[in-house]
Amino acid sequence: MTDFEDQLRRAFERQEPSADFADRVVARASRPVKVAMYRYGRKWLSSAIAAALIVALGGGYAWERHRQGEEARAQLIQAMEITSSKLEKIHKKVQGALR
Amino acid sequence: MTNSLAQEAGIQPAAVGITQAFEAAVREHQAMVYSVVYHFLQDRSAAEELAQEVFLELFRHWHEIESRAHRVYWLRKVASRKCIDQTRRRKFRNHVSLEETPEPFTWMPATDPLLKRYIEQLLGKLQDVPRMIVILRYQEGLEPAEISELLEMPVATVKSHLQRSLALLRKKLSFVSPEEKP
Amino acid sequence: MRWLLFFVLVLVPALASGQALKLDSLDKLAAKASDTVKVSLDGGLLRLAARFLSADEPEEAQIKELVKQLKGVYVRSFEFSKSGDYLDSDLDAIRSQLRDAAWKPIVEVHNKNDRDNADIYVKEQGDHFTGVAIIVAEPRELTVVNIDGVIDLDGLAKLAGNFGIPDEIRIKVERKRK
Repeated sequence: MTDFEDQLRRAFERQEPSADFADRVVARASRPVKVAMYRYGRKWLSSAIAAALIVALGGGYAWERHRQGEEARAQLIQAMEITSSKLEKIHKKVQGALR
Repeated sequence: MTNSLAQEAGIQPAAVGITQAFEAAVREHQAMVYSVVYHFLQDRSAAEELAQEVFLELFRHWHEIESRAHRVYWLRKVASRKCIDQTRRRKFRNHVSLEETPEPFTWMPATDPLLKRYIEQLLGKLQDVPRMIVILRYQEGLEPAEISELLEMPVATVKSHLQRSLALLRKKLSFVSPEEKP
Repeated sequence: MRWLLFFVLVLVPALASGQALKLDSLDKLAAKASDTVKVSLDGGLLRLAARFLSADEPEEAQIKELVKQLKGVYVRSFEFSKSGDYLDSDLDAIRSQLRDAAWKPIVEVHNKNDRDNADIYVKEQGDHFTGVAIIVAEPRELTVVNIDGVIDLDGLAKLAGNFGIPDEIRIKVERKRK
């Protein structure tokens, strides 16, 4: 790696979070999850699970579409940046040719 | 918790609950996850909050983790995705482009905390995906092929983002380091 | 007869509008390149990309505006580890498309000694530019950009401020409007 890249490595060294970070995470993970659904019986439970699956599947599609959109956006910006940098290069060539 | 993971951690599976193993995993990887998120978001309290969410998701998917290496890969992947999702919600969008960021006025040595902070700020001006790529490359030491797999994008795209980001960063930093001066 | 008239009225403007260059002939260069950028955004994917652009970021907002009337944005950019890894003849298929009467060269900078060449072509339809093609061929780098669709002249001029489009090009655009 170059000196410049060494500089970046040093700037991005790992840091510790606050001292009680792990305790807070474990405390949150250990909280009991209340489930109150049996009042309406098995049929309601089946419908709830089916609905959750549909939402999960739909969410999966939405996530993929979102990911595609972000990738397309990044490509579009990259394309415009390349276009502008090449035009700037042509500008310099034109200036050089006119001297 | 799988037997393989418990054995890899040197812990007897029969004697340990998931919570204890999970706590050990949090302590082992908290610096990595927190730093990826902090360098991306540039806000300590927001970084701790998001890092917590990453670990909570690990807890929910604990049974899917096959090894320590898998866990590290999984945490990096989820942390990257959550960071990029966060910027899509415009919560931490920077409104000043990298080109508009003013340079410092004097030369600073590489170990100076001010320079370190300046470099962090420059990183914050990059767009979300290139910013994460720089973090994964220089904080985590990942190769472009590994970054490509993590972020699910072509290696050529990763290399292109890296090249352009380094050029921008180098341009902004070039005058602060005497060895870069002609 | 009425159906025929209907199809002509619908099809002729579509046929007369800008058509993208075929850049596939360049894809084989990726095997020799040390770095490749390939962007092909058109139709639904271009519109999807535009939706994800931020209206709060000045550059992205301008791109969002420009893209509204575009049909496609295409880039092929290759970096090579040494000179000679691509040949002039690799661009023949592109240049033959640009010899079509619809394309007009507005900038040509050719240096035969260094193989350092640059060209900008535009496609016109009435008062509009319906296509731009940029070719930059250097010893170790080759880039071809094609923007297809109605290109807003004001938008292009404004983009110059952010993306460094040289004044000469911008002036050319403004003179064309007059």
